Amino acid sequence: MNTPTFRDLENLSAYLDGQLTTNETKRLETRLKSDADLRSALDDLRRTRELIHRLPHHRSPRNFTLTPNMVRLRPPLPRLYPIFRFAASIAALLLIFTFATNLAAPMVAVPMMAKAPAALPYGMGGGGGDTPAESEALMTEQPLGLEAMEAPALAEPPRPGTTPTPEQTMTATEIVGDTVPEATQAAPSERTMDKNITPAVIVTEQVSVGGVGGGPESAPAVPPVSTFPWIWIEIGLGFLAVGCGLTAFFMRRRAIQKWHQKAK
Amino acid sequence: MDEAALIRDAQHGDLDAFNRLVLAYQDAIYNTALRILSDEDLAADATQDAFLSAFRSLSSFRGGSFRGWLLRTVTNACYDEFRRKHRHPTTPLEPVTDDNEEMDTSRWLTDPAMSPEEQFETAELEHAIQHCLDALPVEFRAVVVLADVQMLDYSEVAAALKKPLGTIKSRLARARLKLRECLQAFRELLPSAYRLENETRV
Repeated sequence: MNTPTFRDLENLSAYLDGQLTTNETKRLETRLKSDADLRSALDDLRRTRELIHRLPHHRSPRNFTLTPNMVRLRPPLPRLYPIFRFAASIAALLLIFTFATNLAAPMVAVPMMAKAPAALPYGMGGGGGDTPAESEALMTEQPLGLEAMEAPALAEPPRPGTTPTPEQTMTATEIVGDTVPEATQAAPSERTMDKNITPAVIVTEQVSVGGVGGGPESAPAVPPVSTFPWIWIEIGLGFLAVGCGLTAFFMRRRAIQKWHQKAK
Repeated sequence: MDEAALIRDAQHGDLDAFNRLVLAYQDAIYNTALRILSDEDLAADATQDAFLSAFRSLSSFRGGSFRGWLLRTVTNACYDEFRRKHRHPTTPLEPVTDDNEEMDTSRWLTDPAMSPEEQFETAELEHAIQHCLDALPVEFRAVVVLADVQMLDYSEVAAALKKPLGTIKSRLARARLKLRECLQAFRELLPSAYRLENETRV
């Protein structure tokens, strides 16, 4: 006979509650037959368990039922209510975002415009060594002295490391017009004098070549004029936000009124 | 009482349906709180909190034993009470007699249908057991109350306390051993059939 270990007592406790497996039960019952200490421990645990079972049950001192005030019940709202509420919120947020973006755009553009003239002398002084005045003259006189003006630009190969990137060319050419991409696609070496080139195209090429030595600053920054109908979008979003918000508001109000009538 | 239908209605916000469930379970919930907290007023507060919390989180009830779910809620409410009591200790107000004198025990809650002698014995036994329950750590007390007072099986206790089955088995055995040791001191008070003769050493 050995003093029961905690594991034995744990098993005895579970045995009393019928929580042992069939094998564990058989094993324990075999031991109980031969071990008096284990039997004594089992009796003690059984008495303790039965004593706790004898604890009297009290009636609750009062009812614990809940009142609508306690739970702050809310009336059942229509299923569409959260959709309208969500739509109103999203529309309002988009409206604020759009409005803020449009408001901020000119503020961002003005400093860029102010910077542009200061950059011109450096930018235009690149490959052709032009000054702003020369450049202006070039742009106005180009149709007349076409061959003479084109020659230096073609004869002088681009300096290594100063080849204009497509972006630079595009930035410069955006000023002129829609014919630019076609004109700038041709490599300088492949360019032959085409007498039939329109003046507008030539001006574009001059600006591009002139910017070879000038880097990114050579392109005067003029903000593109947006023709997107933002105002209509803002008006639409405003209507959507107000409409959905009012619908949600009246839906909720009607549901509350109905709920109060039902409660009465 | 169609419990499932009442639960379903209560989940849709029907307070009357929920209150019928409250009336059905309030004694069990209150007794659980009383055994864990050992204070009638705190137990009543915990019971009310538990029902309020149960109503608010009724949507999270996914079937199974509603009683077990409520017992879990009240056990959590009791733990909250313990923490609150620990942070802000208070002096309880004792119930008073007609002469405005304090009553030293809560025998006034016992069943009036019993004879005075039975009432006295029951009160003494209850006092002894409650005293020993109070000496247990709260985690052990909750296991004993749920398993031996509310008669939940191990898996229900494990679900109620969110503990593994092995932990419940171990805690219950330890709690019973501690209770047995404690009740030795009240040997004279216990009914003869329940007197603990031997002391098993572990």
